[in-house]
Amino acid sequence: MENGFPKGIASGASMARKVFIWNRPSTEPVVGARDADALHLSADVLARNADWSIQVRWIAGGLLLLYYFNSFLPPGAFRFVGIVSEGQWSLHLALFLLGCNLTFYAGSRSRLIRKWVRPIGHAWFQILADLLAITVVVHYCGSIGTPAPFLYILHIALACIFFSVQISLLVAVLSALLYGGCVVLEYSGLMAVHSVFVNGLHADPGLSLSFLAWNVVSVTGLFFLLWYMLSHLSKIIRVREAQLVTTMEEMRRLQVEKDRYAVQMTHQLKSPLDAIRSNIALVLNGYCGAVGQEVADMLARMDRRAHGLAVAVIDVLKLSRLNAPMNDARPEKLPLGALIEECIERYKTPAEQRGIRIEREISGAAIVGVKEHIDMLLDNLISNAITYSQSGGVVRVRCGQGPGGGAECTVADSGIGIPSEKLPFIFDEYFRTKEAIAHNASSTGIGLAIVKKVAQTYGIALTIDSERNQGTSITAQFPPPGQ
Amino acid sequence: MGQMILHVDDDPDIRHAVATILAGEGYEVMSFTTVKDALRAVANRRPDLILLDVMVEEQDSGLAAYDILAEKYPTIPSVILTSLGEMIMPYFVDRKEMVWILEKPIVAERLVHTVRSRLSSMQ
Repeated sequence: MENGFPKGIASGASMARKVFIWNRPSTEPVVGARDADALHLSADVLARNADWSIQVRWIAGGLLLLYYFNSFLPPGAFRFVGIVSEGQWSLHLALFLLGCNLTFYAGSRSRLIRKWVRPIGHAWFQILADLLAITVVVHYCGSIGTPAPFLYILHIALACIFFSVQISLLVAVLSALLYGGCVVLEYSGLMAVHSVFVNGLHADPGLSLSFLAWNVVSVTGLFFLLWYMLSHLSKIIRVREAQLVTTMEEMRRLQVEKDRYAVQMTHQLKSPLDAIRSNIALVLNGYCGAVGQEVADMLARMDRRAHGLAVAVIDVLKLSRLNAPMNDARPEKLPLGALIEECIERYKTPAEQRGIRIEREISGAAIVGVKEHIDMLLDNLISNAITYSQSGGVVRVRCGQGPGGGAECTVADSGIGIPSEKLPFIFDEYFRTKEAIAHNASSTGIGLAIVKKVAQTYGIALTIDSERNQGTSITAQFPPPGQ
Repeated sequence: MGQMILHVDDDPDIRHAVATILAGEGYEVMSFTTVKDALRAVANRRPDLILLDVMVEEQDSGLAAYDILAEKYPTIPSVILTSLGEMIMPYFVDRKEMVWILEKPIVAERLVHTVRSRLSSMQ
């Protein structure tokens, strides 16, 4: 030491150094204001919308064909409702739409095309095709004085919902250009003016330029007003969606972290107990020489308490896993009878050691659940029945179809029972009756809390019948597998 | 010389208990505290059985060691030692092969029975 410091520091000699700086958690919003404008719905939603718009296009094509077949009727058949049909434009347009649909349908199913064309690109092709088709409809139905131009509004609204603010604006601008261009070409004489209506404005030679201009301005103005309102409302929703997705991902990550931490803690707490019990076992099995009966009894008591603590530690991990599953284990159909037999097999030896007989009456019954969870429920019911039975007693396990159509399982013992005033609390974590503590000092009070958690998860109804010193019967009624 | 068992565990009491019990049954036991030392030993002399603490050093080391041993030395049988009991199962749920697991504490009868069964399962 030199001047109170280890040698080296005082003399200026070099020592290993590493600096640790931990950043405070960020409070920045998940999505910034500029990023929000670029948000669009996920690829999965866009793909599903593409399928939906293909279905709508089949219907539109069908209506256009119907309109075309109308021309085979006697001329003027629909004049009484003010509609005339002319030309084959509706047939050509219907075939165009049907051809587009077949292309889009094949494209959405082809792996090669999906590899090169992202869902948003696929959606753009559809929008452009639809806008062209709408322009044709507007031209032939009547660009002035008919409701046809409002067909553009449908696509502007859809673009606002599914795409970003910038892309939906582009769709609004395209719609305005196509509509305006159609009117300009018609009324400058470069294209004929049509209308499906008997007294359409195309028949009026006196339409002024200002009338036409106001018409175009008001319709396109409506396009941009709709774009502004819908796109900003949609932006709010998409920002919320993005925040939800980020939060869900963070929660999943935290659940995995939580389980890793729980496993680490369980290991840290249980390892010393395992070491203690291993050493006790060595002594009791004579590996350290002969041991007197009093010493052996004392060691056995120590081992029992250490065992109880070890069980409590594992039970806490089980409860933690039930509250926050570490993996996405999916419920599946399970044979309840077989699971009960496996559980009875696990507890056969401890039961035999205390002279407890297990009687069973098991018939086939199916349930739906995660095997690990159902095992936890059955383990706790059967082990409790054995633990709280008197030596030489009987545990009866029955399983079959219940009255409600679901499986039913009853575990009954003739042991210490539960006082009636304590029944409402038996599923509380760490709750133990005085009788339970007296009978089994190492009981943890977590077992039935685990049973409750599993019952809550799968909608299992539990019925308890118990009387002090007479025994306890617990019946678990599972919902029918279809529910 | 009896069959050689390689044991990896960072707990000295567990290493002592395993060595005491198995030596009494006529097995030769080589104990290691780290996965690295154990893998070096396996490369030099093949054991007849490996007892591996799944949480040795840190959570992922034991599991990684199990995978390395299964891949490099598929003919050497192994048994996982764990304090977690069946709670360790989610880490092995995707395995196609049977995984032998022995829950701690180390009790002579269970250890000897498991070692004998595992050794005879490879014959």
